[in-house]
Order: sequence, then structure tokens, then C-alpha cells
Amino acid sequence: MNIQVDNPVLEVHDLTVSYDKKPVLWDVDFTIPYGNLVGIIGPNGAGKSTLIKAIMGLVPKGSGYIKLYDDTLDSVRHKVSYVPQRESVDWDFPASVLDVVLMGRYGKNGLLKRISKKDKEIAYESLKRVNMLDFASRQISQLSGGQQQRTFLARALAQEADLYLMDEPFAGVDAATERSIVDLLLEMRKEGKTIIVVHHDLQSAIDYFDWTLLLNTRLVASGPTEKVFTTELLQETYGGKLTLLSKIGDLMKEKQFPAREK
Amino acid sequence: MWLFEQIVEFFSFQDVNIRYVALGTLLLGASSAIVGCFTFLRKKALVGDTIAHSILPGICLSFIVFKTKDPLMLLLGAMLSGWLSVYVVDYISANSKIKPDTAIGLTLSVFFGIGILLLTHIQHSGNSAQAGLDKFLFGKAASLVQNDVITFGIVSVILIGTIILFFKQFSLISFDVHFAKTIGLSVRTFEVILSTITVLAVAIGIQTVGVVLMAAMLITPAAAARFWTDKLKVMVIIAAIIGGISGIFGAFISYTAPSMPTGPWIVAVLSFIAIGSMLVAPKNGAISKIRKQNKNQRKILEDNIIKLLYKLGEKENEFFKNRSIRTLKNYREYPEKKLLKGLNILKKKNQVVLVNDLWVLTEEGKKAGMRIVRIHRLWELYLTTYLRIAPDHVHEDAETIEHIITPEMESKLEHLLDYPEKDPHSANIPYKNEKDINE
Repeated sequence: MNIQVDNPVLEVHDLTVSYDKKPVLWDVDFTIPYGNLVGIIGPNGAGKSTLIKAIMGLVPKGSGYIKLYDDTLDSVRHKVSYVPQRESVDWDFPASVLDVVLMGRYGKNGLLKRISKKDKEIAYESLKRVNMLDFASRQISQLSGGQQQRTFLARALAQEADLYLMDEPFAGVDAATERSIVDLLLEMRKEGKTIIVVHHDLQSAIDYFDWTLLLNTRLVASGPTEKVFTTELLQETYGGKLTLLSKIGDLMKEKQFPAREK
Repeated sequence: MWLFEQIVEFFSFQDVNIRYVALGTLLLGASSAIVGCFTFLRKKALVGDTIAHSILPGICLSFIVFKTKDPLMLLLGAMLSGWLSVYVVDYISANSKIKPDTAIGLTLSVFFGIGILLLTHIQHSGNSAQAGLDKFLFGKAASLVQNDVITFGIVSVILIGTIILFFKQFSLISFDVHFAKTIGLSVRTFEVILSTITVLAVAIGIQTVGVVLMAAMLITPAAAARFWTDKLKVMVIIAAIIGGISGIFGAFISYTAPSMPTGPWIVAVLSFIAIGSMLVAPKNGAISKIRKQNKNQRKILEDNIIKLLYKLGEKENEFFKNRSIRTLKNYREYPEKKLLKGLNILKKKNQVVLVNDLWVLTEEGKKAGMRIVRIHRLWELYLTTYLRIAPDHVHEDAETIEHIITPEMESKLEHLLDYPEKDPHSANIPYKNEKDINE
């Protein structure tokens, strides 16, 4: 099942991404409507993180194109925010929580300008929304996993974007933090934002998301959550990789074969 | 007196040569430390070493081509080969299965090997102008002249200016490259700028400290500064001060003992400061950790003695009885010396008094002992109630916890358990007075 929408906020067209010539995403093609909370669901190694990295231009595309707001990423960057996985940075870096959140303002301001009073106000406001105001001057190495995640979310809020792509924001946080993050996401959706979240827990996915992508190196389904969550489609997603597809992938890596002829 | 005269002579900077050497090493130490902070934070410490070794062939080639020792010409060659080495390391790690550490090892040795080859060739070519080219191997700060210092000055201004100008960009790519890319920062550009200024810092530095020791000039000040602060800007400033001071002191030591080479002395001072920082830094230093441990041990000793005196009083129903060291030793197997040490601390705190060589609990001491016993028994009850741990397993745990619980946690514990009367072993839980319970 792949439900296409008119006038999408995000269009991924025929996207193939390879690591060392081995495709980890095959011909992925979908559209996402405005103002939804979207889950990207699939087993480990399904290419979920790779998909949003490709959307953000962090990994090179083997084929296809991506349109955000019917435009290229470069022209709408200020409207798009990316929340990387918590483990992707070294939290021993000499910085305070506020320093990290203020990084969210760098994109808006141009990097050569000084941090203004308004930037600081926005940063504090963002910290307040994730319940981290008391931690503003805390050194980031002293944060718990959930606090690190909320710091990243505050940085994203400070970007004042319209489309958010989040890589595993619920990984390694306790139940209470997960609940408060979900509440925040729902609040953001109410403000008309579109939020795309990489998630691996099926149980909660059905409650959280309006729209769901099922992914396992290829797109299994894209559509409203209630239509996508069928036993058949879930089995297809979690029933392992397609044997032939992985064999071809291995062969391409071995022969160093490109994903497209040109 | 000799040393004093030397100090006055050196630090008055009367002698022109001293002035050049001191200024040169100061500039070099400070500017390479500032640049090194980012190398350090990006976990590319070994890249500095690679650049330092890889600069040698560049210097030799410049000399062969231009047949001059003009520092600017040599700098040009140094920059080119230093930069090439960074590129080679990146290229190998990105495009092959070889891991970065191996790529660094390979690049460093190949470039350095070629450098030595060229240097040997030049030295045997009979060109008289080559004399002194080998100073790049180990450095020779004492030979710094006015021209060198002017070059150092210009380069330092470029280095420090670049860091100030792009401070945000550099800190962003050091902390979170992916995020930096997504907000539209040209990460590649700033990586290139950062490696270029690193190459520049190394290229001017090796004339003073030499190829082998240059990596220390970049990394050690940053590593030492990190112990003192959690703020990036402060860290950069501290690193610059450490680098500058090491530069001047290294120059001073080799001035007082002229046969001593400057470079190694700069690095020796630097290492001394780094090891010192590791030991004495307030939060992360080794000494503060040891001090904390000692404090804990002292607290445990005090608590245990006062608890013992209280429990003896509880048993015999006579709290203020005189007790001998021997009695106490029967219950706690402490060496006499340790026991006395603890008792004397308690005496100072007015919790015990010494009467005719016998120890007596004071009213205050009784309160303190009661508190420890109360916390111990409350914690045992907490463990059996909330963690469902068997009563015979909770004593050891409570023995430790009783020393660390704060008054706030204590009152929370009391509320949570609703002022219980008995612990899991049916011992009474003592309270300050009955009123507490009824509150």
C-alpha cells in the first residue's frame, strides 16, 4: 500500500541509497501530507535513519530526487529541522545546555552575526517547552539520556522550523520522558508543524502516529496509520529481508557495481 | 644568586636576542595551543603529528627548487606537503577499508621517510647554503632572529584572527557535524580552513621545536586546559596561556643552560603543566579525588564510632557511661591508633569527652549516634518494603548508606515509611523526640 497525496510537504521519488555500493534503500517512493505526526517504522538495519539522512542531504543519493515544499532542500533549509540520534555526538564537549540550544539559532541568523537578546529568549522559551529551563547552565556531560534528548529537541524548537525530522527521539529515555516528548510532538502538530519520527516500537507506534511508513530496505507501505497497520503488511516488514534483494545487494558490493548505469 | 641574576637578565628582555626568542616562543606557544584546542576536540590529535612529520619533504623540496632558506619560501613548501598529508589521510579513511589510525600511521611514515631521504640528499649535495636545514628535525629556538619573529607575529595574527572570526563554525563542526550540515553550513569549507590553519601553525612551529615534538605544542595545552573548565571559550584562553608560558619558560631554561635545546624544554614545561593539571584540577583532578576518598573514610570512621557508643548505651540503657578503648575495641576491630584518631575528631566536634582516660558520649554525641542508627534502620526497612529484599540481606547495604544520606533524604524516608517503630529485625527505630512522630 502506498497512498500518494496531492501537494505534499515531502516527496521522495525513486530514492536509492548505497553504502559502499550495497543498496540500503531500494527505489523508495512516497509522499507525506502537511501537518501530520509521521512514524518511520521498521526492524533494525531497515534503513530508517539512512532515509532521513538522505532527506537532509547527509548521505549521497544513488538515484532519485527529494522535494520539500515542492522545492530543493537548499532553498527551504530554514523551514526544516533535523534532530540527530543522541549518541551521534560526544556529550563530553565543553558546552552548556544553553550553548547547544543556541546552536539552533545559528541557521536563522547567519553564522557571522552575534547571538542577540531575542535569540536567547527563544532558546529559553524552547528549554521551557521541554521542561529543561532549570538545566540551562548545566554542563552537558552531566545530563542523563532523557535530558540529552530534550536538549536536542529544544535546539530543534529554537530553529522555529515547520518540518521536523527526528532520528530515534525515544531511544534510551524513560517512560515519563517519552510521554512528555509525545505530548510536545502533539502540541507541535497542533501548531501545524509536520513531524517525521524514526521509531522502532510497534506497540506505541499505533497510538502516536497519524501517518506511518513501513520500511525494510524497500518501502513496504505508506499511508494513514490505521490503514497501514495490518497483520499482512507488518509481517512483510518484519518478516526479514527479501532474500533475492539482499543477495543482489551483496553482489553489487562485491563487484562494486553502481546503483544506476550513469 | 646566579639564578636570580639569570632571571633578571632574561625577563628584563634587555638583550635583543632574548627579546626575539622570548617573543617568538610566546607567540608560537599561544597560537598553536589555540588552534590545537579544535584539533583536540575533534579527536584528531594524531593529525597534528602527521602534519608535523609530513612537512619535512615540503621544506626540502622548496629548498631544492628555490635554493634558498628564506622562511617564507620554505613555509610555502611546508604548507603544501602538510596540507597534502591531511588530504591523503582523509582520502584513505573515506575511500578504503583502512581505518583512520592506520591511515595516519601510513601517511606519517611515508612522508617523513621521503623527507629524510631528501634531507640526506641535500646535505650531501655540497650546497653550502644547506647548513642549518636540519634544525627542522629538532628545532632551534635559540637561533630565532628578527625576521622569524615578524613572520611568527603575522602568522599568529592570522591564526588567532581566523579562530575568533569562525569560532561558532569551528565549535559547531567540532560538536555536531551532521547538524552543522543540515543548517546549511559548508562543513567541508570550514574543515579545510581548520586544517589549513593547523598546517600553518605546525609549519612555523617546527622551526622552534622540531618535527618530532610539534604535536605536543598543539595538543598538550588543550588537554591540560580541559581539566580546568567546562566552557569552550575559557578553555581556549587557558590553553593559550599555558602554551605561551611554556614557550617563554622553555626559552628561559635553555638560555640559562646554553647547551640545552629549547624545543624539548618547552615541551617539558608543557608536560609538567599538563601532569600538574591532571593532579590538582579542582573537579576532575586526581588529588581532589583522593581528597574526597579520604574525607569519606574519615566520615565513615567518625560515624561508626559514634554509632558504637550509642548502641552500647542503648544496650545497657545507660548512654553517658565511661568507656575504655579496650571495650570499644571488643566491638569494632579497629587498630587502636585509628580508633583514637576518630575519637579525637569527635572530641573536637564536642560529641565525646575524655574523662580519666575513658570516653563518654555527650548529649550532642548521643543525638549524632541516634541519627546514624535511625537512618540505618530506616534504610533496612525501606529495602525490605520497597525493594523486597530479604531482611538478612539488608544490613551490609545500610552500613554504607547510613553515612551518605542527607537530612532532606532522611525526612523523605521518614515520611515515606510513616515514622515506623521497628526495623526488619524488630529493633526500635529511635527518634529525636516523640513530637517528631506525631507531626
